[in-house]
Amino acid sequence: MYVYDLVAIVLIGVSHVLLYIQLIRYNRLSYKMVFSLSIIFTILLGIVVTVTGYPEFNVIMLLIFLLSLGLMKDDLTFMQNVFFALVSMVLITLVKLVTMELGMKLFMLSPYNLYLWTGSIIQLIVSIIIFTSILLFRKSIQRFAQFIIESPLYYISYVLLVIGLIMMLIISMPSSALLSTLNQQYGQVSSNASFILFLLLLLIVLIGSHLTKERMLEEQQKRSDKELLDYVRKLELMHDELASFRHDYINVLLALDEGVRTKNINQIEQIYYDVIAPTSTLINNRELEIVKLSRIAIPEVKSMLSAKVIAAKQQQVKVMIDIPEEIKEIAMPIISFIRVISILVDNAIEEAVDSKEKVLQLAFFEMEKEQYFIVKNSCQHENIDLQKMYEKRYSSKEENEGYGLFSLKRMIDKIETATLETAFKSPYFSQTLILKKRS
Amino acid sequence: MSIFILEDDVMQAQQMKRLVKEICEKYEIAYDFIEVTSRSKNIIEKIHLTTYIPIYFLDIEINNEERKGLEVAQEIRKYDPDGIIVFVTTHSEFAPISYQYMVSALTFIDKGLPYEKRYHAFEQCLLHYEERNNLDIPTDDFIMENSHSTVRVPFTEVEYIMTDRPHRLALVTRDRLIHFYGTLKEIEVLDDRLFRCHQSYIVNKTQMASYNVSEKVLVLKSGKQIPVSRRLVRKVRQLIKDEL
Repeated sequence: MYVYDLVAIVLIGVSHVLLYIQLIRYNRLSYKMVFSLSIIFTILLGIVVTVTGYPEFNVIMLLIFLLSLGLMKDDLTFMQNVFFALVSMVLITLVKLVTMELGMKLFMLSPYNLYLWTGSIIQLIVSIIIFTSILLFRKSIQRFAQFIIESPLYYISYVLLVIGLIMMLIISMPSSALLSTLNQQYGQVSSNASFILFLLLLLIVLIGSHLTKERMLEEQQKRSDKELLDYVRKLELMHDELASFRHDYINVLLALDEGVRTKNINQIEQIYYDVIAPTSTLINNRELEIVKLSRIAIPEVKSMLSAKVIAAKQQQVKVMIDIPEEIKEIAMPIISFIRVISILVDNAIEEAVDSKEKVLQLAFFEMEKEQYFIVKNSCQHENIDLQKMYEKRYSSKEENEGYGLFSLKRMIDKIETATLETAFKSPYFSQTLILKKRS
Repeated sequence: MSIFILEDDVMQAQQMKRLVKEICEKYEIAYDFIEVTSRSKNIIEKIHLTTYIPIYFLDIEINNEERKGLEVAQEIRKYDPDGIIVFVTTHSEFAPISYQYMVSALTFIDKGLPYEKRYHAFEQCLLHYEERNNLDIPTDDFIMENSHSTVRVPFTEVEYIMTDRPHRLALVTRDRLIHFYGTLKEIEVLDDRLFRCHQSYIVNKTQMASYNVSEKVLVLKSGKQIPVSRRLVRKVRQLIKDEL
């Protein structure tokens, strides 16, 4: 046993856990934790297998370990949990088997001498490649996992994976009576079949990842289309209103003209009170607020905010927008900014809808060193424990899971230049996001 | 003391001037002059003539320009950082928050308010103005500035500051909670009234009320409780005694 072997085995162990964690999208574990957990587990496994002399434990214990990790994720069904555990085990083992065989064959073709440690080195290289590729592609793995459980490929790959698991048990040189006879009989067939299985699974992964990309683009397109449509509809509505106002206005002028010509002060007075005075409400109408969003020069932010503002208005919330000057850029990554402010605005709308005053105020402006985004809303509560609000399961609503502010704070915590101020002066609740500009 | 009024509607300007004069007479508020104008240049030119902290009543919408008032206020701030700025506006059911931050505007007065309410609003502003000029209270703020964040809160409001996560702090006041980047180490040295009572807590000494022996926590005037290091219990109890 060389030290290379040991490192390779540990790396493979870590890869199993890492891949599984990515697949179930459980990101509450720090990398440090994942590494130490899987290293300890691998060592434990090594001891168990050597002491008992049953290599089958490798497969069974790993499966149980992964499944128990999956229990930490609440929204995962048992079947999905099993599926992802299988994916992590079968895929990595197959890839390892096939690439190692390939590596050995290639090495035979090369002019170098074959030593005892050559196999170990190849194993090490293979495990390093597996490990780094999981690390590099973790984002795509997460997206892929999300896609596959909803697609028909899920069932096909499920079956293939179960077959793969059985073959793994057979190939792994088992010691139990039943499995070892199977190994003797079908060992060669199984390793050939595993090669075919590997190619099949590779095919599924390729097709799946292509479809994932396609679907993501589609969804993004749909979303931006809808937001744009809402915006256009709103503009049309405003245009109609303006047109009718113009029409009325000309009529009013004609009527006034008549009154002025005949110097009939009573008629003028009557027109003023009946026709002109009521138009002040039209002019003050907050419908025009949405136009102020045009001062934001970042289209994603603008369309997101306009969609939210329209939604708020449909729920009879009075919205006031306060963007005095043009906003050209945002002093933090746009994607996280959009996520942060959409949580802020969603919460504010939800609260405002339930409150008596139904008021929502948005301000977005810049000062010399900082950028301010302020959301202020009326709310029905008399008392709010500001610190409790940011706890994991806190929510003002019973049926709500209350992850909003918790994840908001997690995002903010990662951005060093962000300051978040939360204030409550009954009945107004406000949140101020302050971003220090890079100097 | 000087009073400036920026308003492009002559009628409204005169009305406002009358109102201000009336209130000043009622409370015997002295002033050098009341400058009523529709041109911002006239105000800027006269700022250097003022002896104390002046008060400005600015119409937001001048010559049909929606944000002219803000521009004028920004211009004024260049020459006069302390003056009191009040915006007078139509339909200010809700005052734009940005103006309060950008030019530290005191408040907004809605032109559309009924006379009594408007009178009251002007009264409040002028009384504040007199108070500022007579007492000359120095501003007492807690100011923390580092390369990543700037936090400014009136010192009397600060209750305590705690470590939230590594390099993230939370400042707690009676009705505010501020999360920002920083370490307790840099906070500790800012003011003598701050006291590190626990590894991850710094308390404002003036907010301490009592020490709860059974729960081993420090109780603040607002009723909030914060932990105390065991070795500092004696010191904390002494501090509470001194404060009383």
